[in-house]
Amino acid sequence: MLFYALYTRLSRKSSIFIFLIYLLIIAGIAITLPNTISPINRVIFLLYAIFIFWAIRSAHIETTNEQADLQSHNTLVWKGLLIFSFLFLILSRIVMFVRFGEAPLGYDTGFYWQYFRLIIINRDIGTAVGSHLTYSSWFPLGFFNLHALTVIHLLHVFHQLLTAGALYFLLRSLPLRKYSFPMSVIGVFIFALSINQFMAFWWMFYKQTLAIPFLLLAIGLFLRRNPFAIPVAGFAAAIHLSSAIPLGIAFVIFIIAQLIICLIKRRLPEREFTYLIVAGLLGVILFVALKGIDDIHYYLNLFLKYKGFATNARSWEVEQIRGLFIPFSTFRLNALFYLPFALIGILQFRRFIETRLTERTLLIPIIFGASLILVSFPFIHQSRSLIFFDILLIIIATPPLFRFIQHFARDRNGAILLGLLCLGFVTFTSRVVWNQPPQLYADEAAELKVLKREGTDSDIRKIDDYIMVTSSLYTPWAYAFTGFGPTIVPGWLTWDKWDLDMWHEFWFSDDNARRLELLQLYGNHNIYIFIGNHQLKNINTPHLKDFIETDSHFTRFSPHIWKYTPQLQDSTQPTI
Amino acid sequence: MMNPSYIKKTSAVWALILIGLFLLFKNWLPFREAILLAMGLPFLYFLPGFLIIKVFFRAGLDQIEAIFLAMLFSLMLLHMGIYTVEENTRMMTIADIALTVAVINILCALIYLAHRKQLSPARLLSRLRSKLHKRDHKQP
Repeated sequence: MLFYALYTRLSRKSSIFIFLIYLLIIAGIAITLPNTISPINRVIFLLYAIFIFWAIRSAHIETTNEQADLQSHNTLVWKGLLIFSFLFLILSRIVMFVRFGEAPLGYDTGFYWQYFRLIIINRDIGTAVGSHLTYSSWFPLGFFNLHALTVIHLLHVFHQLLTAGALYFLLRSLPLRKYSFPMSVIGVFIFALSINQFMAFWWMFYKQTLAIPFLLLAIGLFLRRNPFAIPVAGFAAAIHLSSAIPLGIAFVIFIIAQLIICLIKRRLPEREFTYLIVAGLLGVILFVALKGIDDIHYYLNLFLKYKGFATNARSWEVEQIRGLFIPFSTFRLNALFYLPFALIGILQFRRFIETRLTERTLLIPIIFGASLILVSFPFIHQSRSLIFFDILLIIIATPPLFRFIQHFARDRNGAILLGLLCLGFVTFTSRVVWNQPPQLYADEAAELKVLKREGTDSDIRKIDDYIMVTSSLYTPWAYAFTGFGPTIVPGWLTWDKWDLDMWHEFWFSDDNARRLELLQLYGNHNIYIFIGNHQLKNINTPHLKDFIETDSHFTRFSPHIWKYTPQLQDSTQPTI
Repeated sequence: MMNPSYIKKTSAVWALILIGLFLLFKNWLPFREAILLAMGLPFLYFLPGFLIIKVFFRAGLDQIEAIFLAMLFSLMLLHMGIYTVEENTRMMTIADIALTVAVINILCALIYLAHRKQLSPARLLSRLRSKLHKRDHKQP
């Protein structure tokens, strides 16, 4: 059937052009597919992508069909889909808390917990934390005696809802005419089911997930020619600068493009152009005022230090400078469902919005292009740019997906096919959400909490006892759950006395005497060493594990904690 | 003039939301804090933005857009308000927070009322003038 369709298409006048488009789609899919996919799956996916393109082409030819229009105006269905999307979004975000307890999300939770504690104790954001604007909304909730994790997680889920709402607003701001509502609903639907967005939530990028809804809002307001776009964009950039960079670059390119058009057409710039320049300047002034010179100086130094590229950092810093998020190949794998739609959207962006590209809507493809460059090369925060890029992919994929739905929703068989596709998408995302493990399991957290010193007297942990983690994965957890006491962690906090070479010796050497020498650098203090489930499952330091399990200076305190005592001891130590 | 049934429905929805919030927070907080937080949340995260969009986005927004825009603008105002106070005081107290939130809400309410021409300076002056005029005429 597919080949027959291809054959009939090729026999028409514009066959060469269509053939080229198909080739482009195939090439686009082949380039974007990650290498980890097997050749057979690659072919299957290519067929799926070609089928989608063929279906959307057919839908476009039959765009005047009244029945299709009728289906697209069945608002009850779209309202139902919107409610489902928001419900799925909320459920997928809170299911981790139900399954894994109070701290199921990523590494950064512990850092934010520490910031929250400092802010509420000092009643001042101070110089230790930075980014005053981001954390200022913690004050009211902190004063209600809510726990740090409750406040941080509630706001984090709230920001996800706001992002969905802002995306809805942005899509409604595009000139989609009578299809505006259904297309916006589809955009929110893809967002709710996007695995990349779930991953961004799981990694606990609090500042970025706060900035993104405001960026989307600013773009929406800009498209609607609303002056509120200026303060909103300035605010978003002040919250998280690297998220706002694609918008900033796109805005500059947009201004230059307008100027070039004026030069080519040999006419003076219109009032609109002057307005945009003034608006841009005001936005920058607001950003500088809110961000503060120190923070801007920090970003500039970071940029100059690595000359803009994360690959210029030291080998162990590269991932951190890239932004500690999933790699581009995994990102593409997660986006497989809507990737073909996005590719078609890129090719047919102009046709789908059903109107001549107004000057301002040109901003969307420019932002997309800028983001594509930022995620394709190893720039600073390359991985983090993927989060905003995913939203842009969703925006671009939305109109083709709508056409696809419109085409198939006309008859029963088509509706069944759509239902299956939707079910597959929901099931796939649900499976990923369900299988996502926490970084710290509830039992590990409980073990760490035992070491927290509640008062001045503690039977278990003395005031001068240290906590140690041998993997930086557990750094913030161990520090926070044990009550922010002296904690030895690789490369962070003030209590670490070892350099990288010493840590290497401790991790990988087969010389246990040297390990004891290194531990003696901490003097006559007991050290509680935490080794988490992720370390135990993927052991890359077998000598260290053998050392801790067999050396007589160590006693097993709990399933994941060993106690190191400088002097050899008897076996009467308390254990849990 | 607003439809009375609309007012009843809206009030009922708000009452349900507040009771729901209170019951939710009661699990974690003492009674006083729980009720304060439940009552305070709309002032923190909804009302200022709602008043702003009533003034500046009169047309072209559907209900979903209006709700989310209200929350986004409220959050932005909250962040910027507390940020401004924090930068100046360097030691935030509960009174500072309460005052900041109150000022944000009152300012937005004033803008809204001014927009509805109930508190505009010109209208106030004209009312005052007409009252004075009437009083002058009443005096023998």
